[in-house]
Amino acid sequence: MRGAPALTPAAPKTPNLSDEDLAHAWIAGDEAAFRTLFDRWRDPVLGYAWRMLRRREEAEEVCVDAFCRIVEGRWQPSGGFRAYIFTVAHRLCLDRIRRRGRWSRVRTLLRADDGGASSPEAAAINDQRLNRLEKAIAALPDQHRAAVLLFYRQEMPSREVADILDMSDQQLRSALSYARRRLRKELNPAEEVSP
Amino acid sequence: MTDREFNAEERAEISNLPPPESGLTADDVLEARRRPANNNQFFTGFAIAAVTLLAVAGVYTSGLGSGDDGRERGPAGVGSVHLQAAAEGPEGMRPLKPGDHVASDEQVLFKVDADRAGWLHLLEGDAVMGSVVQIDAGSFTPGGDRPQAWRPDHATGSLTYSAWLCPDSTTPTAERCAGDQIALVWERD
Repeated sequence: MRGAPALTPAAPKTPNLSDEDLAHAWIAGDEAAFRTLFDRWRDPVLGYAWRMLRRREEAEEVCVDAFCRIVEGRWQPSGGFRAYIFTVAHRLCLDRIRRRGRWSRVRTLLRADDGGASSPEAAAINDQRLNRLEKAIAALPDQHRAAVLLFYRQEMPSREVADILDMSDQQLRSALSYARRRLRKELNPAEEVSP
Repeated sequence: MTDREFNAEERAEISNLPPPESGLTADDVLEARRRPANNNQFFTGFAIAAVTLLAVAGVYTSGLGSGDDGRERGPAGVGSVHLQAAAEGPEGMRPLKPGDHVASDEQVLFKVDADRAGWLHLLEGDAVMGSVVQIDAGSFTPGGDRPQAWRPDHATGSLTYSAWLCPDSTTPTAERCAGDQIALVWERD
């Protein structure tokens, strides 16, 4: 059928298209293409933002902001969609982490009055091993955590991860090596041996 | 401890980490895109609205009385508001008292404590700093969880920063609004 863009979610033809084809289709006015893209990438982007920020509300805001860039047509055909959406999400997370850190310091200096709320997601994690893994990842420095999440959780190629994080290949290898040692130490303390 | 690559089982553990529960939908994104800019995004600069200010400056500056600590307060019966400031610079953060100097390489963050909900007007001198926003009782930081640091385009000696808490968004008056202010001295480069 030709004519007006499809307005119903998940039009039958869109699920098999590549991310880039869907992004092109959205730019051409196909709302169903955007919905398919969103459904495809919502959980990965949201999961990444949540593990970077540890606050669901903030993670959702990052996710919305990142996809707003797509809605605005800011994605450029010269680059892959996945790299773009994660680059945007990563920068939005870092921005929030920086601002959050600064405000915590101000709050301490001025007058502490509101404690941090615990994450309902964390409370919902019943599996002990999973819980320990989440905590160990959360304890990593920001860039190392980002590297682990993109390389191991999203299973991206190292080159793509390095581009998103604005690192050299060597820096990424070093970050991943550090992160692996830290995670092993947290998850398998008995495995630790003296160098 | 020596490093080795994760084995398949370890990789699977990480790659299978579950996504967080969320009801976020594509409609949320499309709706967010349609909304006007967020009014909580305060203070992207100081260049806002000299226009309004000239008109209201007299009202703003005339209604403040003196408090015990030498800071200016609003009249009784309209609640209370307390404006605090901290400077951030290369040496870190430090709280600011009225009359404190702020170095040319520092910037200032503000925090407002209000004893009731209302509309908050913030000013630098006579100039409204960003939008008037509705706040709840308690602490409020310009910019919310993304606090804004401020510094004037030109460091020009003493500047007075004022917070007004009013029952509505219309121009504050001393009869209706509580106020507090702090004067800071911006050092020249």
